[in-house]
Amino acid sequence: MSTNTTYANQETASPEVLKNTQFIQDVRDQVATVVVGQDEVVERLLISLFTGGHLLLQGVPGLAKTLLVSVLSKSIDLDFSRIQFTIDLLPSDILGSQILDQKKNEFITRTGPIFTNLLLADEINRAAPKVQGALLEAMQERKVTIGNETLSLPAPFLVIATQNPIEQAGTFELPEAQLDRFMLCHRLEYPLSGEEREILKRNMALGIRKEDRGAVVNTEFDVMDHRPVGTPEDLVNCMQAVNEIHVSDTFLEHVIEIVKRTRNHPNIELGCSPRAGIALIKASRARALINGRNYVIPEDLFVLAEDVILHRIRLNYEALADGLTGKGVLQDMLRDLGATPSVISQES
Amino acid sequence: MFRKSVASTLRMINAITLFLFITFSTATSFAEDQSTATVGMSARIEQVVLPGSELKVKGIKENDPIVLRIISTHPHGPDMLRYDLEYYGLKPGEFNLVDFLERVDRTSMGEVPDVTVQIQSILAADRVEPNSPAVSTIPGVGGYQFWQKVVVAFWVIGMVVILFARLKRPGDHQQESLQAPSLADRLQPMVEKAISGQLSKSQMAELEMMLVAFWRKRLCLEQTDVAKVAQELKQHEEAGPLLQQLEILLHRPASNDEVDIAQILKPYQNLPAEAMEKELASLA
Repeated sequence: MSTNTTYANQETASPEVLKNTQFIQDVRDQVATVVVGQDEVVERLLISLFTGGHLLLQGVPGLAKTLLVSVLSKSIDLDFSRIQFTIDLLPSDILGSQILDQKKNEFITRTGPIFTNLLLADEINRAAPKVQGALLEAMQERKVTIGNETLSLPAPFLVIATQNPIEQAGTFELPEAQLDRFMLCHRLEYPLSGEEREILKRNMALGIRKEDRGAVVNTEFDVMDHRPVGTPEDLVNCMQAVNEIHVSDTFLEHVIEIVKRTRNHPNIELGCSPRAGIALIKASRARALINGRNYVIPEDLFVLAEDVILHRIRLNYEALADGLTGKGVLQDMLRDLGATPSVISQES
Repeated sequence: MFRKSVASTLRMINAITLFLFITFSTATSFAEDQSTATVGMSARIEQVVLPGSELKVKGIKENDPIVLRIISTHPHGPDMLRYDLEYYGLKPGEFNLVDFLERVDRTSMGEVPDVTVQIQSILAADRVEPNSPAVSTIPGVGGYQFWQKVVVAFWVIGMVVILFARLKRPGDHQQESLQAPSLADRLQPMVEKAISGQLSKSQMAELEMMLVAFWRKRLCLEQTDVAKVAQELKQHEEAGPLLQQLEILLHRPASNDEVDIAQILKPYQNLPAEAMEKELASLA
C-alpha cells in the first residue's frame, strides 16, 4: 500500500486546512532528513498524533521505528520515552511507584516513563499480561494511579507500540479487547530498492566523532536535527482542524457498510466493534487534513481500512483451515463493495 | 518242625497261585485291550503278522465304522510282514480290520487271516438314536441376510444421493449467477434514479461504490490492492474526472451547485446493461 506524497491539494483545500499543511510538510521534511522513505508510517504517526489514537507498529527489527518516533517528537518539541518490554518488567517500571524519602520520613511519588508525550513501547508482546494491562488502561483513561494519588498523563499522550511478527516463543499475544484500543495497527514493510540504496549511502557518510581520548561511530540519532519545526500549539491547531474536517452522510454510509460487512462475513468470526467505525472516521479525517482536503473521501477509507480493521477481526476456523489470511479476506470484502448489493439496503 | 514246613509250603503255594493269577489276568486284559475298544476311543494291535505283499489302508468312505491307520511295517520271514495297527471305531460291533486293507501293488488280498476287533458302546441299550441332520437349502429371499442386503442397499443409495445433492452442477452455478442481479443490471436503474434525484443518501453511497467497482472491473484492476486502485482510478483519464466529480458532489461540503449529477452519470446512462455486461465479461 502506498500513499501519494502530494500532501496539500491546493485546489480543494480550504484556508483553515492550508494553515496547517505547512506545519505538516515541515514535520515530514524534518523526518525525511534522517529517515528514508517510510512515508506511510510517517502519515500513520501524524494521524495518530492528530486524533489522539494510539498506534501499533508490526514489523521486523531494523526498520527505524525508534528513530522515526524520536525524530517526530523532536520535530514538534514533544517529550519522548522508550520502554523495552521484557518478561520481567513490572507495572511500576512503567507507571512509577512511591518511595520512602528518608530525610522527610514520608513516601514520595516517583513517576515512571509513561509520563511523556510520545511513548515508544518496544515489543509490547514480550511483557506479562499485567504489564500490558497497566499500559493499556493508562492509554484508555489517560490517568495513572500510584498509591493513593491519581495523576493525569500529559497532553498530548500517544503510545506507539511495536510488535515483532517473528520469534513468537515466550511472548504474550495481545488479546482482541486490548488490540481494539489501538486505533491503528500498521504493518511495516521493507524499504524499496531505491530507498535502501539511500539508507546505505547515508549510513556510510555518518563518520565518527571524537570523545574523551577515543572516538565513537556516529548513528542516525547523532546527526538528527534537534531544532523543532513546530510547536505543541501547531499540533493542537492540527487536532482542532481534524475535528472540523467535513464528513458527508455518504461517507458515513460507507463506514457503516464496511463495519457491517465484517460482522456478516462468512469467513470472519469476530467482526468490528463500533470503535472501529469511530476510528475509521477519525483516521480518515486526519488523513484528509494531511492530504490538504477539508473533507473525507472513499480513498481515505480504502487506504486506512487495513490499519483500522485488520487487527480488530478474527477469522473463523473454516477460513483458517482453508489457508485464508485476514488481509486477503479484508481485500475481498473491500472489492465486494459495490460489486455485491449493499448490506444496509438489504436490511432496509 | 512239621508244622513249620507245612506252613512254609502253604505260603509258597499261595504266592505261586497269586503270581499265576496276576500273570494270566494281565495277559487276558492285554489281549482284550488289543482287540476291544469303545466307540471313539483309539486302540492298537501290534505285531500282527500277515502274509503276502505289503498292505495299506483303503480310502475312508463316509459310512465306514472303523478308522484304521498302519503305524509301522516290518519284514517277518519270507513273504510275510509284521504290522502295528491303530484303529478307532465309529459304530459299535465286531469288525475285521483286514476288510479295511488292500495291497499296495493292487493285487488281490488272497488268504489273509482275520484280525477281528470288538467296538463296544458305553451308551445304554435303549438309547434314542439322534436324527440325522436334515440338509436344507438357504432361502433365496427373506430372512436375516435378505434384510441385511436391503439395509446396505438403502444406505449406499442414500449416501450417493447426499453426495450428489451437495455437489453443485456447473449448470446450477450458472443458473444461480443468472438469477443474481449483475453489477450492470443494478447500476442502470440506480443511475436513472440518481439523475432524476430519487436516490436516498445510502443509495447514493451504494451507487458510488458500484461505480468504483465498475471501473475496477473495466480496467482489470480486480486483483490489485484496493488502496492502490483508489489512487490509480483517479489518475485514469476517463475514470478519474468522473469519480472526482462524484466525490465532490457527494463528499465536499456545499458542493451541490458546482456539480451536475446528470453530467457525471451521462456516460453510464447510455450504456445498456447487456452491452456493459458483455464488455465486462470480455475484459474479465
